[in-house]
Amino acid sequence: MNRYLKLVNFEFNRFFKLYIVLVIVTIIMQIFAVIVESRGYMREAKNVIYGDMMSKADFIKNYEAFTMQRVVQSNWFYWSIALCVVVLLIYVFFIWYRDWLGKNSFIYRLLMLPTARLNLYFAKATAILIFVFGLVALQLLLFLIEMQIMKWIVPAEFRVDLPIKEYTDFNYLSVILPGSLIDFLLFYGMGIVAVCVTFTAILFERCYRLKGIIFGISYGLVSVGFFLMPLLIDTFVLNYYFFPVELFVMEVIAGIIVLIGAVWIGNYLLKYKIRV
Amino acid sequence: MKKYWKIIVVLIITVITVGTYYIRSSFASRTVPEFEVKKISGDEKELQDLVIHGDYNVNDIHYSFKILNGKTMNINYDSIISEIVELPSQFEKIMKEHKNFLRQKVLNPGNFYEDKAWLAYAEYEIENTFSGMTNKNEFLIEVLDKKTNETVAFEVAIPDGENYYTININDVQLLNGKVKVLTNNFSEDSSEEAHLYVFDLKEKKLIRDDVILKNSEGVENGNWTSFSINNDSLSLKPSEYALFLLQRVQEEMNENTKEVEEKILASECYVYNFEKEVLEKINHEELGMVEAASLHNSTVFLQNQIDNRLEVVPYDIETGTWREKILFNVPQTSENTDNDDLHAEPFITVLNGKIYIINAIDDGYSLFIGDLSTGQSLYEGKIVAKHKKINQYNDKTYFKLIEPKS
Repeated sequence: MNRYLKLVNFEFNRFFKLYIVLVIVTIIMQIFAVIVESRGYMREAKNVIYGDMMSKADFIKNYEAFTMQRVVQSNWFYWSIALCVVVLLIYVFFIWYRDWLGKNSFIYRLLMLPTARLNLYFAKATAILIFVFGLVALQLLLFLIEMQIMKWIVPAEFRVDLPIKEYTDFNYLSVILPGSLIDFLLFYGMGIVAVCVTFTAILFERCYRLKGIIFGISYGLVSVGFFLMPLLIDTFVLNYYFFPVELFVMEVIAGIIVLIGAVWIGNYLLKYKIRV
Repeated sequence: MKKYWKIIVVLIITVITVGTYYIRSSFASRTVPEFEVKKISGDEKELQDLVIHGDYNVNDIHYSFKILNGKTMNINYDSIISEIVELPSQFEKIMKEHKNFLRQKVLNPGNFYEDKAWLAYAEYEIENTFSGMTNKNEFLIEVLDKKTNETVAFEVAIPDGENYYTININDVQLLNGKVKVLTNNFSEDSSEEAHLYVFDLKEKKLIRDDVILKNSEGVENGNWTSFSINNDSLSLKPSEYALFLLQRVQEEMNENTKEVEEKILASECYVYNFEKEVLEKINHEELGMVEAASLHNSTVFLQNQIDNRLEVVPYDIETGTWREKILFNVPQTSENTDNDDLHAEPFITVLNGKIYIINAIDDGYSLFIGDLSTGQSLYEGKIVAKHKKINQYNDKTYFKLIEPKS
């Protein structure tokens, strides 16, 4: 356990500097988005109210009041989130491959540590999760700051202040911040399974190199296929025999089996087949 | 510990932020207010097991809400689980008792029939190949004997099926070993027919296909004929009659509000008897236009609104006689008000021989429940929004359906 925690901390610190850069870039992009959108709206309001002699109430009726929804749907905001997603996706691969880089490959030392090699696998997965959840928390905190900035720029009569939930529910943000705790656990549970399957596929490549790429991809496809099996069988073989609740339970069980499979195969590969 | 400070800080921030977000964002922190019905006069019992459906909009965010027993139902809007588990309330009991019968079926009340001894189901199946050829165009009929738990199921090709663009199943009845399916058949040339298909359970075949009514008039200069079958399609229970309403509608632009309004030019009303398989026209010429019609047991209620008076005329199908017309006051909405809600039309519905009228007033909505057989008021109340968070021109509330909780 102690070894595992140390390894998690080690993996965390290795990426920390780049992570901080990612956090700062996100903050800058999103605050920029708020300022651009709020000022744009107020400019339009001024033009219409003073230029076309429209009353404030009529302007709000015709153009809709300002909400954070506009900010969330702006390009800067969208790309800030896309950037975080892409960086973390790349890091899921890089967290393994960096150990093989350089002349004295670091993986050699890691594998020699007097602990179960599976800890290495778990530590890397945990580090990825911490980075993901950290960014989710950052988004929530940023929302509070951004709403304050919006309040400074857009006067109260022009805006409708809604709880954060209203901005995350009906668009791409609902993937990052699902509506309820159960959904949060389901979504990120699926994320954990996906990360582990990817890790095991990477290990296939690291064990068998060129041939391993084919093994890794086939393993990934088999995992996805197994996970979708209840749905596929119900749709194409049983002609929608099961009720949604029954399918849901089967999917959860299939997900757990895929996860156990990924960890078990990963453990086997690390223990007996890994090459440095 | 000192070595670990970075990771510990990140973990603490994460847990606290995400934790508070999910624990605090319960139903109460939602934008949609809680609606409550407050009694002014009448009997509180009228609200029992009554579900009022409505929509609440803020800017471009939409919510549906339900008021049950006079209070907003605490629906979980947020979880996908609630979508997975959701089942139309009519099917809850059947799901417990005859679960397997419901498998592979469209859970739409119109496709089902239920009495003490039988459960019946009809489905329209159409399958097109990629080249656009129809390779399946048939009815699927399935009947369950509740006592023996035996199922009779068969498929029947639809006569002249290729002539129809689509077929809507409106109602299913089971009478003396015959399944009667009332449908709306749409043709390619936009004409519409009401059919009754009669299936024999013993012989497992279609024995009759009757065209009950035909509406072949198309759209011309913004006027068309609307055709509706107004029987109690939400219920699975046996019904003796079906009601048809044909209305010639003209679209017109209102110069004052700049909104398109629909004007009824002519209307015809018919009653169909499922057992005798006869169609009867209701002669309502002296009553003027019919805006809406509804059916309760063997009484038809015709509705027509003139200014702020709503006329309801009951017609007894069995005796073929008219009963005395009942007048209800529906407050006219005024044009010079800041509240946009007040422009909304009153919501009127007739259900089980009672009339329900919801109307926007200055500080909420009025709810009126009247008895159609006597014309008396059973309940009067006010629907008010509690914990309203938005207090601007920006929110709108619409009521769209009142139904009994089954």
